[in-house]
Amino acid sequence: MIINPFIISLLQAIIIMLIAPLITGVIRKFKAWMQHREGASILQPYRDLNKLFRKDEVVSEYSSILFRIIPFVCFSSMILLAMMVPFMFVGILAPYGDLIALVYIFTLYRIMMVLGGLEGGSVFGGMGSSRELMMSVLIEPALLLALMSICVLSGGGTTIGDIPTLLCEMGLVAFCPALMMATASFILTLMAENARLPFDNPSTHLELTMIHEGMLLEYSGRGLALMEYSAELRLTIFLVMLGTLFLPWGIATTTGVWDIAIGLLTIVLKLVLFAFLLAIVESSLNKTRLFKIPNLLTASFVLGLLAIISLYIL
Amino acid sequence: MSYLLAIDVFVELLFAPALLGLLISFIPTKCEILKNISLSLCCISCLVGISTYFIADGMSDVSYQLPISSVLGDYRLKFDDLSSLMVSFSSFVFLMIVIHSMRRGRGYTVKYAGLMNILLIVCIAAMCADSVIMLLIAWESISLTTFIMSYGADDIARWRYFVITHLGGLMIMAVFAAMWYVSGTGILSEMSNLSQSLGSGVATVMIVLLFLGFGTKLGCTPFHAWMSDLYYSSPIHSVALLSTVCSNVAILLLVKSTFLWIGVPDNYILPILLLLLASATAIWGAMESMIQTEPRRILAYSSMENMAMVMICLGTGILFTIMDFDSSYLVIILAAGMLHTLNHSFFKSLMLLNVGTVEDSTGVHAIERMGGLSRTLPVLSIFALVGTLSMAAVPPTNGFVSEWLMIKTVISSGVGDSVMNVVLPMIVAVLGICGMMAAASYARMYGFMFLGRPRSEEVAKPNKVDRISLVPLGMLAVCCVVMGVFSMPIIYAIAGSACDSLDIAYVVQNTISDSLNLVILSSIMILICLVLYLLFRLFRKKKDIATTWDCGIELKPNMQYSSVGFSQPLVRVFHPFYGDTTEITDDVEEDTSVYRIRFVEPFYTYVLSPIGRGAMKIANKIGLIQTGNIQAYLAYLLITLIVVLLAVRFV
Repeated sequence: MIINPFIISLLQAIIIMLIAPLITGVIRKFKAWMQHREGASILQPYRDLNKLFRKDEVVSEYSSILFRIIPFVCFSSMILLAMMVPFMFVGILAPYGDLIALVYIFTLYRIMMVLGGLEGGSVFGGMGSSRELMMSVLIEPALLLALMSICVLSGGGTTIGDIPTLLCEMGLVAFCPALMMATASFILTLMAENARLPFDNPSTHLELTMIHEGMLLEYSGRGLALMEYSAELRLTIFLVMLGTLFLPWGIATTTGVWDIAIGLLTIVLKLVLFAFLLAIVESSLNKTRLFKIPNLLTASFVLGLLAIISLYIL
Repeated sequence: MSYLLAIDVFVELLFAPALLGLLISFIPTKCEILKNISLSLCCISCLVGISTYFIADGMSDVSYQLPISSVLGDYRLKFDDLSSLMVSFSSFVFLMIVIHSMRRGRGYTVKYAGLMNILLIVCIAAMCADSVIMLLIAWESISLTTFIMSYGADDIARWRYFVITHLGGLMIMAVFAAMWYVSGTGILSEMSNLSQSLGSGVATVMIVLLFLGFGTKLGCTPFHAWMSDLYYSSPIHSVALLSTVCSNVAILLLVKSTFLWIGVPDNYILPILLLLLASATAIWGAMESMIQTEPRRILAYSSMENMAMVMICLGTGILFTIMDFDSSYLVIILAAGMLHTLNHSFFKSLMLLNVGTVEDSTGVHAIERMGGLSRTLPVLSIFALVGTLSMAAVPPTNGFVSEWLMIKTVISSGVGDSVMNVVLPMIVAVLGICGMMAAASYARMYGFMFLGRPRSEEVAKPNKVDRISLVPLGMLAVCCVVMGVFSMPIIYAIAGSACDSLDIAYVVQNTISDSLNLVILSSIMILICLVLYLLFRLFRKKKDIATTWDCGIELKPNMQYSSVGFSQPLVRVFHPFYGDTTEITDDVEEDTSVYRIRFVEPFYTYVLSPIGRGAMKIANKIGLIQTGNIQAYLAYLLITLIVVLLAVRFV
């Protein structure tokens, strides 16, 4: 039986939107277990969002209209990305942008968040923005290089939907040093971009360490709900990209029901596995000093560069 | 071929109003009306200029000879496709800048209006020049006019610009003279692919000299030393014209001379050299713009960075040609470069005029004293936001489209086995790093100018902004978005005319739009935003206005993040490159310490200043023979005479 590709694509985008808080919940649960705690229910992020959506909002008298627009822009850009990444099937709902456009939509999100941090003139916001920009200067080229290496490896262009298909067709040949280095580089980028340990601590509001939370300090109520939801979506999208662009095996390349079922099963398993690995990494590392972060990011950058160069030389 | 307009009629329509405006400016008066007449005439010329691309279609093969000539040959103009495209876009930007300069109480004299007219004429003439002599004269006039237009600027900055730009002029003159000599004709459209008769070594040297020569205007390292100071202290409209229209001229001439007139020599050293030069410029520009404390200086370094990106495109184009890639890659990377040049002229003029308006309205130049302007100047802040996002290459603005096209072309060309392919990821890395670094610097500029709380009295209560100055800003802002969302026709137009004018045998296919459709992407985003907004309206919640969270104490204006502190993390990361030194001096009486960070501009301190001192030393040595004694001078005359006579006799 063949299902209409459009319906599958729509389904993918909806699933990503629905499971985003769940992934955060699962990671927290894993981390709690590792600390011998019972931990909150994996549904807790949904409850938090629900609570925030019902609350009144307080905005600073010094903030401009931009402050109210930013949550909308951030959230909609993440929904757009949810439509642009393959999930269980290689087809995507919005085939109107390629991998580079994807990187730049992340930039849109980041710049908007940085400007939001500067609104209201609070010191914490500025500090968060400043540090975020320091990291992003090194993150973005690393991300571009990691994505370039899978483009070159798969031999296709920059079209998102083609890459998983081509990599799957290559079979075991694709397991070359280039892919491994690119994946390693991407994982570092993923952790830096999503404010995970050792780059940033997602569960602290301590001003000396915070980056991402600092920028969100002025938000409240629905604005905060949208920003938190976008951050959860961003983490999910990055994990999905890792599972479908860098390690795509198992993804459905046809629209047969069985293929789709297998595709769904593998991506769910992959996400749980990634969440587990992330929890292990986060539990076993401590937060790096702020000015040590660039060393890690440079490692990611160099790995990305080496990945491509190895393709030409090896 | 049917002519919409005969070429001589068109040239008259194009130049006559500006010439008339120039004549008017010679009337010695301080009358406001005359200045406005002169500027309006300039506007008419600009309007005709905008129509060039649509009218010049039928006359792209005709070389028009001006009714004057000289010993060195005729003055010829030719409106080929690429030139007329650039003329159209540049005229639009020029028009916007002229309209902005017409607002009341700006204190420009009728002389300044006349200079604007000259600049328009010589810019168009340089872009469309078809004879070497025309090109050189027009280029030199651009340098001189912009030098005079920067009156009121810091004297050292002006003269530094004068010297550096003439150094570049010399290099350009040398190259074009050599081209003239080799080809035996002064007419540019009859030259093509001279590198074959020149040999690859000579052609390489010539192209490098051209890049350096035109690079003096574009801010190529180490010739960028004039930029920051001149941008900071000259009238904003001179700066805007210099940064946008003049850069367009330089890039167009660079493209035409490299890919058409001289032709790419088969020598791998050339693209590597150029890419190194351009990358150094781009990264240096992006890094320096992060630590500047005045918006104008930030924009100066940003010009440098953007133009370097275009030069990276040209270098990559040369690399593609040498590597014998499919010519579609060459066409598209050139189109990306040209598109970025045009986009740069739109967003940069928007931002420069915006900064000028803010400075006029508040009287504050330093970013450290601005802040919170988005609440007092809301319309201006929206235009500035568009310009900032566009400079930071954020979708769906025009700056994004050109950067996207550059990176996409480099990445998708990367499939191959040649060792030279290793250069391609480096190019992507450079584009990525300096793109994001520049974006960081623009976010900083916007954030500290318009967001936050006011940091000084003047900024808290700015004067009203003249309506007329908002019109060009608004139009430029709209263009920045429209040229981004509907960019595909522009890309195809540029690629098509590049093929046509540069003799590249390639038919542009409409394949790029398959991978990026910003119309749909942005409609999806807007749709999501609207749905959310409506939902939020439906289930309305209370919204309280309160002060910023202050930990329980009252916030003073300086109790917020400072722009200097903001860039500190990046300075720490790239510490050795910045050449920053920290001094801490203790004041024992006051019981305080002063903490001072100083940045040196290494190119100026370690490269240009020693050269300048050396030149002064030599000049002083030569000065020794100037004794002021009449007998000595008579002796010099006698010696010269004898030497000349001997030379004539024996040679």
